[in-house]
Amino acid sequence: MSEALLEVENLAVEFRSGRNRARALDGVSLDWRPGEILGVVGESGCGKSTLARAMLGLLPLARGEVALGGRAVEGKDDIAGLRRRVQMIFQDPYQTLNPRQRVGAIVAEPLRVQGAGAGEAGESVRRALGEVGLEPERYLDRYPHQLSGGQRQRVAIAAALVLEPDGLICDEPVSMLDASVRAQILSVLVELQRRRGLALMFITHDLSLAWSLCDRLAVMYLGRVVERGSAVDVIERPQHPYTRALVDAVPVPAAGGGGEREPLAGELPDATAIPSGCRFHPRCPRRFEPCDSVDPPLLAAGGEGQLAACLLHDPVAGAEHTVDG
Amino acid sequence: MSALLEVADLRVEVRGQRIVDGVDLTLERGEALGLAGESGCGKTTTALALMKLLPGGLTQSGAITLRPPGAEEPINVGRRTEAGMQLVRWRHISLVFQGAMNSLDPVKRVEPQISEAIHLHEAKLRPRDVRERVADLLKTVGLTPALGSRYPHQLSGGQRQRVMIALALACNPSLVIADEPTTALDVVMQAQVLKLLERLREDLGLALILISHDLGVLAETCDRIAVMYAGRIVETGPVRSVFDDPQHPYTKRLLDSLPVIGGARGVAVPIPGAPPDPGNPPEGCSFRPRCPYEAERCLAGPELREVRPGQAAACHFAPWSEWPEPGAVPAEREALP
Repeated sequence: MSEALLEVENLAVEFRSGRNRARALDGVSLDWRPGEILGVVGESGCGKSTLARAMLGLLPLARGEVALGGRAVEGKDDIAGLRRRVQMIFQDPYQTLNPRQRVGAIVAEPLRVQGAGAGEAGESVRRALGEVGLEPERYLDRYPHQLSGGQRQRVAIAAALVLEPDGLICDEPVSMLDASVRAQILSVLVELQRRRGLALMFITHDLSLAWSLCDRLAVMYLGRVVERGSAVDVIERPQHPYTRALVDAVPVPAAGGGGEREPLAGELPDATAIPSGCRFHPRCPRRFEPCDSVDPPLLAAGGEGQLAACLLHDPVAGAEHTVDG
Repeated sequence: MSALLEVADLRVEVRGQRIVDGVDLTLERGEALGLAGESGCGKTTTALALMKLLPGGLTQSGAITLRPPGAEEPINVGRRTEAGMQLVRWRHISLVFQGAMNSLDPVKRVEPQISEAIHLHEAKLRPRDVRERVADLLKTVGLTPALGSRYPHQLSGGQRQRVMIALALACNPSLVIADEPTTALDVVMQAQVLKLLERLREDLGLALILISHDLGVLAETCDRIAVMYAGRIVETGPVRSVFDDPQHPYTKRLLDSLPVIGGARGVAVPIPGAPPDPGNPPEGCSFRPRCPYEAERCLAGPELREVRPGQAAACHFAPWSEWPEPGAVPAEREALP
C-alpha cells in the first residue's frame, strides 16, 4: 500500500464554554491517500468540518496526531509545509474572497505570501485560472461581486491551486450552487484530480454527491467515524445503522421517490452530552443489551476494508443479531 | 368540482423586466404541486405573488382565483386590496419560508407568536381556547406543547421549521405554500419534515405548493410537478411522467445532471452556460442558448402545450420518444410544420 498523503490518528478536539466541555472530535483515525477522492459525510454538528480544520492545524488538538506523507506534523514549520501541500475551499466563496481585491490579486495572494516574484506569479495565476475554466483576460480584473456563485467558487479553486498542492479539502463546495452549476464545478475538481493526480477530500452532507464521486467514505456521527470503506460498499451495503438511516433519508429524484421508510427519530445530541456506550444508541432502531454501556470500536464488517463501529459486528455481543434485520 | 386554486397568465415585472412571464396553474383540493427550478427562475416570486406579498417595485398582473371549501363565493386574489388580502393570508393560504430563524420573532416565545396569528383571524376566541389550540398545533407538528415557552434561538433548526409549519396551520388554511422548507436542514431532519407535510395533507386535506430546487424532495412529496425556467413553466405533469419520461430538454438535462444513489457514478454531464439575464432574454425559447437540440424554429414560440396525456411541455420538438445525442437535431423533426 502506498503511503498516505495525510493521516490522522486518534484525533480529538474539545471546545470549552464555562463548565461545559464539547467533544467536537472524539478520537478520529483516517488516512487520505495520494490522488484519492475521499468523502467525509455526516449531518451538521457531526464534526466533519472540525476534522478538516484540525487536519490543517487550524485548531488546537486535545489528543492525537497528524502525519503528512508518513511524517508526523510537529511544530510551526511542519504546519506551514502541510498548508502548502494541502489546500482548502469552503461552501461560500463570497465569504472567503476579499471583496476589495480583483481576481488576479486574490489568486496571486498565496504566492505573494510565499514570497514569489511578480513575473513568476503572473504566469502561475494565469495557468490556475485556465485550469478552472476562466479565461485570464476576461476575469483577472474583476471583483468578486461581478462574478456568479459558480465563478466565485472557480476563483477560490484557482487560488487553492497556485501553490500546486497535493491535496484539496473541499468543505461543502457546491451546496450553495444550483444543480446545473454544481455539475460544472464538480467536473472542474474531478478533472484536476484526473489530470494532476490532485487528491480530493469532500466534506459533505450530500450522500448522492459522495456516491457519485468518492473512492472511499468515512461516515461521522457526534465526533467519531462510525463507518468507513469503499463508497460503493458503504452506500449500497451500509453496516452501521446510522449509515443505513442516512442513506434511507436521501430523497430520490425518480418517480415515486424513495418509498415509505420511517425516518430516524430525534435529533443529533449535543457534543457536550455524548451518550454513554455507543453514542448512537438512543436513536438506534437496532440497539440491544450492552449498547448503552459498551463503546464499540471500528470492527471489520461487510466489504473489503469496510469497518463499522457497531456491536452487531462483534463476534460475541452481536452473535445473535443479524446486520440486515 | 372546481379547482381550489386557478392562476391564469400571472406576470411579475420589475423595471420592465419580466421575472414571471405568463404562468398558469391549477390546484385541486388536497393536491400537492411541486414547483421546481434553479435560483432566479421565478418560483419564489410566483409564490409571493399568489399571496400578494411582492416587495415594492414589483408589479403583478393576472387572475388568481381561490375557492376555499365552505366559501360561497370564489376569492379573487388578483383584485383584492391589501386590506382584503389580510383576510385571506393565513386564513386560506399560508406560507412557510426557507429560513425559519428569519421569519420567527427572536424576542418572543413560541406560544404568543402562534396565538397572535390565531387572534388576528378569530378575535373572539377565549384565551383558554387559544392556548389549547396552540398546544394542539404543536402536537400536530410533532412538538411537545412545553416547547411553546421557549424562544426561537432555544430550538433546533428542525424544531423551528416545525414551529413555522404550526404557525402556517394556525387558522386552518386550505392551501399551504412551502418555499424550500427543508433546504437548511440535514437529510434526516429533512426526511422528518417531509413526512410531517405528507401526514398533514392526509389528516387535514391540505393542498400544498412545494417549492424546491431539489427534485428528489419534490418526487417524494408531490402529485404533480411544474418545472420553471426563466420565469415560465416549461414542463408540467404528474410526478411519475415527468421524472420517468421528461418532455422538455431542460427537465431532461436537469435530471441528468443530478447524482443519484445507485445510479451511474462519476461526474454528471453539466448543463453548459447559465440561465438568461431577465433584462435581456433570448428570442424565442428561453432555453435555446443552452439547449443541445436548438434549431431555427426555436427562435419563435414555443408555447406550453399538452404532449402526452396530462403532461405539457414548451418545446417544439415534444413529444420526444427518445433523446438523441446532444447536438444532433433529428432532421425529420426539423421539417415538421
